[in-house]
Amino acid sequence: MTLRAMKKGTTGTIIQVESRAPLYDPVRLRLQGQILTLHGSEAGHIEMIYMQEEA
Amino acid sequence: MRSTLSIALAGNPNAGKTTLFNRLTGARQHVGNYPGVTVEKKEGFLTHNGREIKVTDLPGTYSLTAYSVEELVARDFIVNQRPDVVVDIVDASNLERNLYLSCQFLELGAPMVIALNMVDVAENRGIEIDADRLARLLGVPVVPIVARSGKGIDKLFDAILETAAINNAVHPILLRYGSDLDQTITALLPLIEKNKLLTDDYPARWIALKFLEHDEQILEKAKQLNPELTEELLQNCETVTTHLQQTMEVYPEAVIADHRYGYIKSVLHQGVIREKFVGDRLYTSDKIDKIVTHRILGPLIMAAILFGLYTFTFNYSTTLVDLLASLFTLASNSIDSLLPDGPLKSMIISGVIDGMGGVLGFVPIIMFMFFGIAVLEDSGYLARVAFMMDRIFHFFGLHGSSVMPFIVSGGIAGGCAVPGVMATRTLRSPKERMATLLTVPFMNCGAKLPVLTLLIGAFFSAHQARYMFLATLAAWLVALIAAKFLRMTVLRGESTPFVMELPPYRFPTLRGLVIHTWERTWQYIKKAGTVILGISILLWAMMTYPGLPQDKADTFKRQRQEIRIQLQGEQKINTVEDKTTDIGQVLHGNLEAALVEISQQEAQAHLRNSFAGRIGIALESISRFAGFDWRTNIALVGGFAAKEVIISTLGTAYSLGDVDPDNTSTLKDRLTADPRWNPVVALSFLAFIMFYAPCFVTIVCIAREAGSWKWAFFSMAFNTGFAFILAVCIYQIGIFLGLGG
Repeated sequence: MTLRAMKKGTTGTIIQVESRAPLYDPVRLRLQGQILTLHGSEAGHIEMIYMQEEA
Repeated sequence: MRSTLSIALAGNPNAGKTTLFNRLTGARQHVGNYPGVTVEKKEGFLTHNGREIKVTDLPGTYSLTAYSVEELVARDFIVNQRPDVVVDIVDASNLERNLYLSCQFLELGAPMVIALNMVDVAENRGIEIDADRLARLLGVPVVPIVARSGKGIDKLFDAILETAAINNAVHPILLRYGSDLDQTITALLPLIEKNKLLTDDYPARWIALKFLEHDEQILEKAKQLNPELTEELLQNCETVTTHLQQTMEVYPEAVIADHRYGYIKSVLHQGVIREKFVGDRLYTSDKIDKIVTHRILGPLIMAAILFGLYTFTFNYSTTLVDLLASLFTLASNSIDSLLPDGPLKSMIISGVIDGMGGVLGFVPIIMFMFFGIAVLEDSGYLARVAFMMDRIFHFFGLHGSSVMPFIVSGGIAGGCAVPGVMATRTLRSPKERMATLLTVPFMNCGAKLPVLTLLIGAFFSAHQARYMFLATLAAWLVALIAAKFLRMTVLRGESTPFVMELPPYRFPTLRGLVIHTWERTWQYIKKAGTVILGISILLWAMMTYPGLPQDKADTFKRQRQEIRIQLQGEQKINTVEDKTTDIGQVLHGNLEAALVEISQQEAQAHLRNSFAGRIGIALESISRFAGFDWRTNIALVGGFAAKEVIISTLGTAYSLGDVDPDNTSTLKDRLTADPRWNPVVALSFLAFIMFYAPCFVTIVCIAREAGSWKWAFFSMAFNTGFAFILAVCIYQIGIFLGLGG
C-alpha cells in the first residue's frame, strides 16, 4: 500500500473519509491531523473498522 | 571544530522548512541540484553571534526510508556530509506525525535540535505543548518558534550553537520493536559489528533495522561490500518476516512503524501535550475547502483563479514592458549615432540589443506570472488544483501528481519545460512518468509566452487575454490527448495509486513570494543572458554572412547613387528658384521612397543570400503548406535552440538592412504591415510554435531523465510532426474559408 511510504502509522490509526473531489475521485481522507487524497479504488485496500458516529 | 558551522534543515513537507530557510538566509542563498539527481538543493549563509553558519534546506520527507529520492537525498546528506546540527522543523499542530521523522534522526544518532514551528497555530487550535518536558524526554533541545514572524529564532540558534559544541556526545536512541524483531536485531548486531558492515557510516543497530525494512539502498551497499554476509543477514530477516506474516499478517516495516508511533505516543502522554478541545473541530482550512473544492463551486473558482492570474499578469505588467522596450530602443538609437556603419554596429544593434531586448523585454510578464504562481503555491491552493484535476489525468493515463510538472512547464503559462521535465521525478510509475515527460513540453512555457504575446497582440489584439487563455486550454488538451495516445501505444501499462497531502491554507509571506519570484525570474534572465546571447550573435552571423556577391552589391550601390544625384539636382532647382512647388514636393518624396525601397531590396537580397536564408529557402518548399516563408523558417530553426530566440530572430530578420533611423516601428508593426502575414498565418505559426520540438536544453533533460537519447529524439520527431500537421490543417482550412484577409 502506498500509504506505507508516508509512514502514516498502521494499526489503530483513525481515518476519516471527509469528501470526494468534484469529479468524485480521488477521496479526501484525514489521518493524524493531515489531509491525504487517494483514489477511491485504492482507498478500498485500507482495512478499516467503522466507528459509531457520535450523535 | 569547523570555522563555518554547517546545519541542515529537515522536516515533513509543509512543516514550514522553506519559510524558515528564507527568513534565515534571505537573498544569501544558492539554488542548485544534489549530485546525480534532480532534487533541488538550497544553501544559504547567515551569521549568529559572530559565527558564520551555512544552512542547507533538505527536501521535505516523512521518513528516512529509501522509498523516494527525496528521502534518500536527505539521508545521504546527513550521513555523508555530516552537518554539525540537524534542525528538525516540526509542525506543532501535528506533533505526533512530525515526530516520526525526529524519531528516526534520533535512531541515526544525528546531532539534532527540534524547532517546534507554528506554535501559534497550535495554540489557536487549543493545543498546549510543554517544550521543556519534550526536550527532556527526547534528550534533545526543543525550541518553540514561529518561522513566519521570526519568533523564537534567536533561541533556536543559541540551542544550535550549544548542540554543535557537544555533538561528539550524541548517541543513537534504542527503541524496542517487540520480542520477534528485537531477537532478530540481537542476532544481526554481532554479525554487522564483527564484519564492520557499513558501520563507518551508520550505527550497527540502524543497519539491522534497514535490513528488516528491506531498504534497497542499504542492501545494495551491503551486497557490494560483503555479499555472503548480506545473504546471511537477509535469511535471518526472511525467517522473522515469514513468522510475522503467519502469526499477525504484517511485515516487519509495519511493526517497526507501530513501535515508533508507540514510542512517540508514550512521550506525548507524559504531560507533553494538552488539548483544550476534545473531538473534531472544523478549522479555517477545512471551511475554505468546503467551498473551493466543492463539487460545483470548486471548478468554477479554479477557472476564475487561473483566468484572474492571466488578467493580473497582462494588465499589470504592461507599464514595465513598455518602459523596458523604450530603454532598448534608446540603447539602439545611441549605438546607431555613436558607432560608424559596419559589421560591429550591425552586430551590436541587430545581434545583441535586438536579440536581448526581445527576450528581456518580457521579464516583467514573467515576473508577474511567477509571482501569481508563487501565491497559489505558497497558499496551498495548487495542491487543491491537483486534487480536483486528478480524475481527468487518471482518464488520460497519467497520475494526479502529473499536474505539477504540467503546471511547472507552463500549464499556467509562464513556466519552463526544463524544471517541468525534472519535476516528473516525483512520479513513481515509469510509464506514467515517461508519458508526463514527453507531453510537458506541449505546455506554454515562459519562452513561448513572448512569442504568443507578440502574435496575439499583433493579430488578435482586441481579445488578447481571451486568446492567451485559449492557447493555454489548447496546450492542456493537446498534451492530455497526446499522453492518452502514448499510454495506449508505446507506453501501455497499469496506473499507480494517487497519494497526495493537502496542506492547510496559509497566507504566503511577502518575503517567500519575493524570493520564489526572484529565483525563477533570475533563472530566466540567466538563460537569456548566456545561451540566448550566444545564439543571437550566432544567428546574426548566419543572417549577415557571407553577404551579397560584389556585382550585386555594386548594382544596388549604383542605383542608389543615381537617385541621390537626381535628389541633389531637384534640391538645387528648388534653392535657385527659392520656392518648392507641389510637383517638386511630390518628386522629392518619390525619390526618397525609391531610395528606401532600394535599401529594403538590398537588405532582403542580403538576407536571402545568407547561410540562414539559404536554410530557410530550402525549407520553404515544405513549410509553404503551413503558410511559413523563409524568414519565418529561420526563426523556427532558431527556436530549436531556445524558444526565446524565435522573437530575437524575427526581430533581427526584420531589422537587418533598416537604414532609416527614424523608423522605430516595433516587430509587431512589422509583422502586421507585412503582406505575407495575416491572422491565418499567425494562427498556424502559433500552433506550430506551441507544439513543435522542445528547445535543446529540454531535449537534453528528457534524454537524461529517460535514461536514453531514443526518447529525446522521439520527442523531437513526434512533437514536430504533430505540430506541422496541425499548422498545415489550420492554414489550408483558413485559406479555403477565405479568412486569410
